[in-house]
Amino acid sequence: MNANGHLPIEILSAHLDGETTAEERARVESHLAGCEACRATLEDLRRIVEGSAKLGAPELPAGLRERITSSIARPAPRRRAWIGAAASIAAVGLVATAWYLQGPEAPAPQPPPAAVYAPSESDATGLVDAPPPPPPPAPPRGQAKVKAEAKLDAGNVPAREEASQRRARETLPSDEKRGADSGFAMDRDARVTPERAEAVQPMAEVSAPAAMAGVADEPCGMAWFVEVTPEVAVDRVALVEALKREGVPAQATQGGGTIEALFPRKLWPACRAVLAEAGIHVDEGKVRALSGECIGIRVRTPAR
Amino acid sequence: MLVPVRRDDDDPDSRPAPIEEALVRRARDGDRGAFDRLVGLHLPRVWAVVSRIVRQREDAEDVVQETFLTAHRSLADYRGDAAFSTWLHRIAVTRALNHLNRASVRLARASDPIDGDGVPELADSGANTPLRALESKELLRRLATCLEKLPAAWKAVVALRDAEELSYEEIARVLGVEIGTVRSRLARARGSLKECVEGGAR
Repeated sequence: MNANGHLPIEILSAHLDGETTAEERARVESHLAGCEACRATLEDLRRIVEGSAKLGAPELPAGLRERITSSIARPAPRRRAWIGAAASIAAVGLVATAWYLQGPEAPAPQPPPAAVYAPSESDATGLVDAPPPPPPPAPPRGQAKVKAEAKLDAGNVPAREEASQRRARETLPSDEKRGADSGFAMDRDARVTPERAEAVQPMAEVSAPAAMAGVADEPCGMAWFVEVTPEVAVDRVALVEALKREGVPAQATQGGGTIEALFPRKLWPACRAVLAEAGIHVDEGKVRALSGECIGIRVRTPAR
Repeated sequence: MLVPVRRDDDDPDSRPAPIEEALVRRARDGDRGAFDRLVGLHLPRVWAVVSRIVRQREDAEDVVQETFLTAHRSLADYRGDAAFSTWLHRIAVTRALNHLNRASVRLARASDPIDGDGVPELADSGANTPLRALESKELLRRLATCLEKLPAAWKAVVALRDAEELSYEEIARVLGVEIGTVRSRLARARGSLKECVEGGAR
C-alpha cells in the first residue's frame, strides 16, 4: 500500500503486464475488489498501455533494407587504412615493445606480441599470427610494476573509416517519403546536433603489456593490452562498476579518461558482454591473438 | 488485460530457432545473402523499437542501419545463448540511447525521479478520472506528445514492452539491467504518461 492506502503504481503496472508474483496478484485482486479508486487507476493505466501499443511505429521506410544491405556489401575501407598504418606500427613495434620489470632480476625484454598488424592481403582483420612467444613470466606478487611502458601507440595512426562511410551514406539517394511521415517529430531545427552517428564499431589496437595497480590479489599482474577507442560516450564510473560486478578487475586511469581491465582469459566473455552493453566492441581476433593467460583491455574513453 | 508473456532459458523461444541459427552461422561465414535474410526477418521489429526511441526519422534510419552494420561485424561475438533478436535489440537500444546521449539529450537514470523521490504516488482520483473522460483520438494525440517527453531510458523500456511485448525478463536482458529496474522504470514511465495526458499534454 502507498501512503494513501492504495496500491502502488508499480504493482498496478506490473499487474497489467502479468508480471506480478502470485502473492502480489492475490493482494491486487483482493484490494481491487473493494477499492474503486485503484480500479480507476488501473483502468487509466490500461488505456495508457493500450494507447501506447496502438500508436505503434511509423511505417518502415522504403529502401531502408536496401540501404542496409548495400552498406554491408560495400567493401570496408578499413583494411587499406590499416595496411598503411600497419607497416609503421609493426616497425615501431619491433623497436618499442621492450618492457621492463623493476629490479635487477628483471627478465630480458620480451619478443613482440603474438599479434602484430601487418600488411597482409590474406587476412581480413589485418592481423597476422606470429608464433606465440612464451607468456611473460608472472612477476613475484607485489613486485609487478611497470617502470617503462613502451606502447604501440596506434591511437592516431589508422585512418578512420567512419568519415568515408558517413560520406558514402549521405550520398545515397534520399528517400522520397522522408519527412512526409507523421510519425516523427520533424522539426529539423530542433535537432540538437548535426553530428551523425558513427557507423562502425570502434577499432581495437594492441599495446604492450602493463601491470595494474590495485589488483595485487588477482592472479594477473601483467598482460598485453588490446586498446579500444569507442566512438560513443562512455559512462566511465558505470563501466568500471559493471566490470567489477562481473569479477573483472578494472580501474580508471590517466585522470579517469582511460579504463583498464586486466584479467584471466576465462573472464573475457564476461568482460566482452559488459563492454558490448556499453556499446564498445572489441575485435575478437585481436583478443584471441594475445599471448599469455591474462588479457588486458584498455578503453580510451572520449569526453562525454 | 494483457496476457503475461513469461519466458525463461528453458523456453525454446528464448533461443535462436534452428533456421535462424543456420542463417547466423552462414552469415558469420561471410554469406551476405544469409545476413540479408536476417535483416529482412528482424528489420520491422528493430525499426519499431528504434523509431519509438529516436524520433527523428533520418536519425532513426541511421541508427537502424548502424545496428545491422554493428551486428554484421560482431557476429563472432554472438554466442547463441540468447535469442538473436534479443542480441540485436540490445545493439539497437544501445545505439539509439547513445545517439540521444550524444545529441546531448539527457538520459535519465533509473534513480531519476519524475517529481521527488521514487515512484510517483497517484492522487486518489476516484472513479471519474480525467483520463477516462477522454475520447480515444484525443487520448492518442496527447499520448504521442507525452511519449516524446519521456526520458530516453524510459522510452526504451516502453517501446520494448508496448511495441514488442517483450517480457520483463527479456527487456532486462536487452537493457542489461535487473528485472526490478525494468518494472520500476516502466511504472514510472506510465505514471508520468498518465499525469502528462491528464494534464492536457502540455
